[in-house]
Amino acid sequence: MKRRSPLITLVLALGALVVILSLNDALIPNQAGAPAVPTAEPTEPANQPGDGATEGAQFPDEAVYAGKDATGELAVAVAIKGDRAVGYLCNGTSIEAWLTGSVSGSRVSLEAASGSTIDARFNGERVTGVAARGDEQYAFDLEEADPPAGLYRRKDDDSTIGWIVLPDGSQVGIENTGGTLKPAPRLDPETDQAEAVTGETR
Amino acid sequence: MNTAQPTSESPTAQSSFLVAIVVGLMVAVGLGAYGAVHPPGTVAINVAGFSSFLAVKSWLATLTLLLAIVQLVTALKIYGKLRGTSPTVNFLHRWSGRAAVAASLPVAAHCLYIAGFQVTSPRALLHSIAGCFFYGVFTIKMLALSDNQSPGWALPVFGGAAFAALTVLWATSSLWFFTTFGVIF
Repeated sequence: MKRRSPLITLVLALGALVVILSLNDALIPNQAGAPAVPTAEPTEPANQPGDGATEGAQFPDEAVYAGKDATGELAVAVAIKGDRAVGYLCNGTSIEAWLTGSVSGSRVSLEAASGSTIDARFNGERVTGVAARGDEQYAFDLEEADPPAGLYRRKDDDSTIGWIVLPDGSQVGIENTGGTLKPAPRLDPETDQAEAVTGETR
Repeated sequence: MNTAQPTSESPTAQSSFLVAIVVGLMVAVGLGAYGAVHPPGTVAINVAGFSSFLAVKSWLATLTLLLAIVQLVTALKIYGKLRGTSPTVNFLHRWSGRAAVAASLPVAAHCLYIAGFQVTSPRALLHSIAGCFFYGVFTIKMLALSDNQSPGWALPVFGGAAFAALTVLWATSSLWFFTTFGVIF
């Protein structure tokens, strides 16, 4: 003999979960039409929306994307060249991480030696994703940062400075001297000596 | 079932219980795979009156845990381990369970959609594993409950495992949120 009410509870609960996840994919434009991740086993997410709507777009061969996370505390930059990528997270005072990674279709994944990660996707115009650093997660939405905006770095014998120059002209940077962090001096990207970081910079 | 007096040792009972376990495993692995493969979302919905959706999630998870404590107490009464059985105890157990699962769903969907299966910190890894485990165990428990030939130990074991998983989930999320940011709404 079977009792039906637990089955109904089960079907309703799991069904509701699938419906919520599918609605997210269908209703949020930037998220729609995510191609399956090429690097992982192509276990297709159960709720791929219809084809063609807003397919993830191919990254250009070379570009830099920059912006801030949703809280406005952390600046994020991702530089792409070919299938290689460099990323930088920086809050201007006490948090920074350089990440390297690769591009695969519309998706870019980066990782730092410290374990920080960036996972993001290109929709043809903007790069949206999540940076994770320790327990913290930062959702971001980056726009293309054409020069003089971009990602810059200056390496000396004992220090490395990273700057993210945002498309609106504001900048966030940190000077790292043997692990000691302090706010970076202001960079004039057009006259100061600093390396413009590309996806191939290592 | 065509046997007159089936026991939990009968082959059909065993195989239907085995099916329940396999389905539960598939649910757990499926959720983990979804979380790992789905690209992370970026749009966090907020609910009026709360400072962030993390706060909403933390309180919903706290509500889920409180309902799960009702589950534990009523289950102990149903099994005669606590005195004071009342006619409402079955009703209370059933509906507190349904409410607990309902309260957990928006939280789980947000975790799976925005964060995915996270391995970046021990807290996130433990939380991810416990989350997948919880819905797998919940599935097995519902299937075992619907089939009165399942072994007698199945409900206490899987019900207890679900409660334990929820405790871990709450400790690795809401407790972390409240101790990090304060008990805020």
